[in-house]
Amino acid sequence: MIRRVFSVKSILLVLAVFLISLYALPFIEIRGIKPDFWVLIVLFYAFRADWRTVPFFAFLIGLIKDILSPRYFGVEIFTLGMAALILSYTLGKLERQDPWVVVLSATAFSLIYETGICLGYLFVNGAYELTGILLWRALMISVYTLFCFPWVFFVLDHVADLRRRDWLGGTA
Amino acid sequence: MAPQRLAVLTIVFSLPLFVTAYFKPVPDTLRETFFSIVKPVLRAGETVRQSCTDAVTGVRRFFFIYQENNQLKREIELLEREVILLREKEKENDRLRSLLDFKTKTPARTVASQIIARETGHLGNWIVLDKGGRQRLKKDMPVVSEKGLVGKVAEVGPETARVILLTDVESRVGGMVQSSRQTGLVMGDGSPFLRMKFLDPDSDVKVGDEVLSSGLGSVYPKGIPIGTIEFVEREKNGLFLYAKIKPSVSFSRIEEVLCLEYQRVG
Repeated sequence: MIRRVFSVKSILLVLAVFLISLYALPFIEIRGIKPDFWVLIVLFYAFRADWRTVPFFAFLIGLIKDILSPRYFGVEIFTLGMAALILSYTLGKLERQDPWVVVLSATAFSLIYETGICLGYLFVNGAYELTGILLWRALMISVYTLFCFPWVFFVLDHVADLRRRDWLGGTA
Repeated sequence: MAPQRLAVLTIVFSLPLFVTAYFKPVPDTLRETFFSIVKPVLRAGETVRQSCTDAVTGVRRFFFIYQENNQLKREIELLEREVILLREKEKENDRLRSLLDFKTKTPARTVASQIIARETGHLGNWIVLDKGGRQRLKKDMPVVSEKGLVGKVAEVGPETARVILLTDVESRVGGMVQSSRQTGLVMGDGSPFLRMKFLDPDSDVKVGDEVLSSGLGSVYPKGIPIGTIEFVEREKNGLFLYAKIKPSVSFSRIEEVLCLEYQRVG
């Protein structure tokens, strides 16, 4: 099952998000608030590829985020991994094709991750100050990410044709 | 999901935190190696991004060129007058400095660097430079652009370095209001603006005042522009004033920066 995480298409997807997050996101930012495409690919993997291995996929995405970030190493892995663990558990209990389940679990995942990351850095770094502005911005990023969620899924499903069941050996 | 699996995964996800706590060089080496490997990709990506930005800006500016030209001519006239005045002030300043035996705080050496990657989100406010330890960049070197203070070098690899921007939540700079000479602490909060705290409540700080680095502390030299005050209000505890600052530097647009080898004298 883990092999699905390392398929060529998933690696290409990660590479695309890496380049988009560095170079394309400044063009769609609104007052410094940008959607989190890393969160979106974890969600895409959970809903389209394999909800069971999503914590492992999130671990790898967290590792990339931690390498890219100059901050305390490991906070991204922990937060994204734990949020994915909750997502995986929830998807195992509910009807995964139900649009309400998709929307609500994506919302919960995004909110848990964005606020969790603020709390994580507060926990490991004394210099870090958790302000209302920061939490407000985390919420706004979450909202912007969720706004992009259907569009990104549409593009990946229909334009990049990643919907086919064989692309990751999907079981969604 | 079985409780055993949950416990195992929680431990696995926590492992990197323990690695960082007890073996800090491991993640540092990982990051440095990664950026050294992807440096050519980042450089190419930045070139493409810059070309796209220039093309879009060029098209947009084409329609305003005549109006802008006239405005610039007027500005040149004003600036020429200002240059004459400033030259006089400079001479006066030199005389006063020599009279007072003023201890200067100037950078001994500068390293010009190009930005090859950037991330300015609500938490990750950093840029990657194309110079590193081999070009004698060091941790905590102040970084400036032609418009003002950018941040400081946070991590140095052999070929690249990462700079934490002023807008980062962990950034702290001693600031000084140019007109009233009031000092305070300038902090980032992840937004495109900065906050200046601990200003004297009786001070004459007002909207539009320029804020410079105060030179207090050991990282940043004195007198580098930080930004302009957007609004001032009393802090909740009532003991100090708090100001919101618009940075002088547009962090998403800078392309080249100077890293200063700052040696504080005296």
